[in-house]
Amino acid sequence: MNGMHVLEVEHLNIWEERSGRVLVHDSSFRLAQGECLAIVGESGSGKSLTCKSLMRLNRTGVRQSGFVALNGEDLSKLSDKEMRKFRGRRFCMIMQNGMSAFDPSRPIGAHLLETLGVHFNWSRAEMETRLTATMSSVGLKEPAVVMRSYPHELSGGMLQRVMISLAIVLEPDVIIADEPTTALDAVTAYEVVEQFMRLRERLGSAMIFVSHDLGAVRRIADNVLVMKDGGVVEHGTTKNIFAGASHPYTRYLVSSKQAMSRHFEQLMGDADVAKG
Amino acid sequence: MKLLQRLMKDKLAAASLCVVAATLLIGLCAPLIAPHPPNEVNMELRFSGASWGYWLGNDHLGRCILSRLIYGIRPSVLWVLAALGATAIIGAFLGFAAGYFRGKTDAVIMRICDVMLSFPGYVMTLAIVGIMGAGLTNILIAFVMMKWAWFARVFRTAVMQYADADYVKFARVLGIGHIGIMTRHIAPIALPEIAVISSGALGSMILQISGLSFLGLGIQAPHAEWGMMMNEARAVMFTRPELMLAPGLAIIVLVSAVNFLSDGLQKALDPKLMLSEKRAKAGAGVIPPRLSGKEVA
Amino acid sequence: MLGYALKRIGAVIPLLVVISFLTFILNGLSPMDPAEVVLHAQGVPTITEDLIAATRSELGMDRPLLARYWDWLLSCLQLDFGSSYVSGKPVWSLLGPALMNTLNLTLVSSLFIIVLSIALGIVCALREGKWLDLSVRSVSFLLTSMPSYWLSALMVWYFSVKLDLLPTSGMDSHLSYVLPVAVIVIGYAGLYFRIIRSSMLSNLNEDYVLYGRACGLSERSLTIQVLRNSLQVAVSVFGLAIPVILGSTVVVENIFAWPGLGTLTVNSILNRDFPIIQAYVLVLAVAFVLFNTASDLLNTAVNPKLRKGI
Repeated sequence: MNGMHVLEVEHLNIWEERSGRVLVHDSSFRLAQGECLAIVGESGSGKSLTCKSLMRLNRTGVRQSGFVALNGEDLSKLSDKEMRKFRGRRFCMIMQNGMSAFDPSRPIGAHLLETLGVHFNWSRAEMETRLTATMSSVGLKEPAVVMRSYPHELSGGMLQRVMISLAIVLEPDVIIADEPTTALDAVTAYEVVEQFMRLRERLGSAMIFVSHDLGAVRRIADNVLVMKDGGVVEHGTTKNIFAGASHPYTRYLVSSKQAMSRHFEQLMGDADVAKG
Repeated sequence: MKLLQRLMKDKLAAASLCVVAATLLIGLCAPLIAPHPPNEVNMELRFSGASWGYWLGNDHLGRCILSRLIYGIRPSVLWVLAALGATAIIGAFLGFAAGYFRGKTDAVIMRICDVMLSFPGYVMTLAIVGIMGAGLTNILIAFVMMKWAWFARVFRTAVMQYADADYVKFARVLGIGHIGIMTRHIAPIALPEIAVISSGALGSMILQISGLSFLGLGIQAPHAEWGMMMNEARAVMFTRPELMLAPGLAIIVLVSAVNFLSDGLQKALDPKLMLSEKRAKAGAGVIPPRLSGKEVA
Repeated sequence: MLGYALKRIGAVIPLLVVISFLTFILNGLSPMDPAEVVLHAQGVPTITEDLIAATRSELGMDRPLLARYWDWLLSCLQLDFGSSYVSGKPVWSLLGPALMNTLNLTLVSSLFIIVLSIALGIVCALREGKWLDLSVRSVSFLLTSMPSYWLSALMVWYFSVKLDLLPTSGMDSHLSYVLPVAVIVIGYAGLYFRIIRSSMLSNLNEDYVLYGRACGLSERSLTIQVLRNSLQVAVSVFGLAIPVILGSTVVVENIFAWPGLGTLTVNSILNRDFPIIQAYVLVLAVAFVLFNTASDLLNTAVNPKLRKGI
């Protein structure tokens, strides 16, 4: 059983060092090869913190304990230097807001090339060929122009695609997408989720998809983890969660979403629109 | 009131508030508290040290240093406070008008502010004092003339934030008059911000005005003022350096208290700052207006 | 970029005209008639109405305001600011050397302020909350609450009188710079160090640092990115700081008898020597505007985000 899981998280606790306030308590979950797990919950429920702590990226003053293993390797035993090699290569993060995710005073390409340079011994030409190919495959029309652009010259949706294409080149074991669609408008969000689905098919990597967009979750996730106030309240398959959740909080989340889409359908007079 | 409650939780700010309040009170009641008349010359007691009758000793004319210190609060602090109040009121009024009505009003007021702010403040203060003659009144007038534009600009930014808030738009749709909206919806929220900005400016104003008095451009002898007292002590600096001590420490304590209080007010106003200072949003490329307007005497 | 620079410089010209006009009518604020002041300053024993009228026409004060402004502006552009009421010497022969001395003092001080506040700002931001950060911040807080003349007196008393290491006043050697520069640096470094520190901190908490870290970039590379973005703030802050320092060396100059603008101006104020005061205001206001414009242009050149709006 153990060998089949890419990622195992057991008894993860996260707390603030100074005040001792517990932010996430005793959460455990596993991720199988190629599985997509959605973590849902309201803001402040500890979704993002959980994701960051998988990569040991929480800011100073926030401590964590518990067992996190990638392909059976205990990550808490790694040195900072070893952990850095894992970041990007084995874990790949896709941020919520593309606009602020890149150094504002460097062209996008500089970040992409630097990242690839850290993990691979490719020549510059090879990196550029691979990036250009993946960028066009995710629908970025002029990869060379994009590489030369500064973050503020591109749209949020384009930057999201840049991050996705970087993930494709890096071929990580686990992709962590932290609310990737929240900052986007509905149409762009729909297209980006589409890209995520294709990304999964293409790489076969496991994915953690943090979101409070239940529509997107329904389309992409195999399993859903519901968090509330720093704890896991429910964990099950997407189908079961949407069909009949056992925890009242989950039922509340699902029903409010349904009420909203019903209202939306009535307004639009077109049932198809609501599925986005 | 909530602001005050939160402020009291911060011990340093509470202590600072006590220092500032005590200073103001002592200044107001100077004739009741001072042990001697501040200008009473007593040549026999020249440069005498601390004694039971004169706790802080006597200066070069044998005047009681403690009494002069107490009377000095009036020009050094109380009048500065009054000038600050006047500046803040003028600035707030124009800033409110510009931020609320926008359009032409805004454009005209802001153009004037641009011109005023393109003069370096300290230089203009000197110029106005130079033309109108030395004296505390002229310094204070110069200050009001030079600083209102800065206040107006800061307040305009603050008001613009709130004027865009949904409930203000809502009130506008409901047909509530401009003055009603300003007094009922914008002023109460913007006021604490004004308090923070003004208290931040007070410290540097006290320093600058005492600096001008030190140069002999402010209040004229024999009146007591902290900067003036140091100016007098300067003449005997090499033989009696201890005379610089009392007025200097008085200014340092008061200005530190004002600065701590202003910091505390800011934290109390924005609880996010209290949790972790790093969240202070000084976005790249933007200078915090509070800091860029500060000058050191 | 060139187009923007030209546009920005073009916008400065009307501002300079307004500034010069305001400076010109500054004399009108005086409660005394300038002609009377001149006569007083020249030590004329009995001042009669006739004498005042004669002096007025001698100074050209009976002509229309705008005509007088135009003549004044033209001569100012040739650095002819008239002559001192008191000594009768041309204003520029007094103001020019004083300006150079003040500029020297300002630039040397600014250099130290920039180096010190950037260094401290970076070190403290990277060690946020540690004892070094806390102690530097408390000391800087205390120092900004200290009147500069008090600090000067303290330092003169200690370094010059007690230890007899440094000259108390004047501008005789390189050693003369030490005390005045130290006082100015102490007064301002605390202020600007805090701006650099908070700008570093807000950058360290930006998403791009998190994403860079999540991509496996080295801490060194991330620190360089943060530095570059924080220093953009520094460029605009220091561009504004230099003219402010230039205008506020008055107190320090007076204490150390520095033969600069501050000393000259305070003496002129006490003597009511209007032409010098007027020239001083004009020169500093123009310097202020030019420095601001230059720092604005420099800022636009280094910051790609600002360049976009051009």
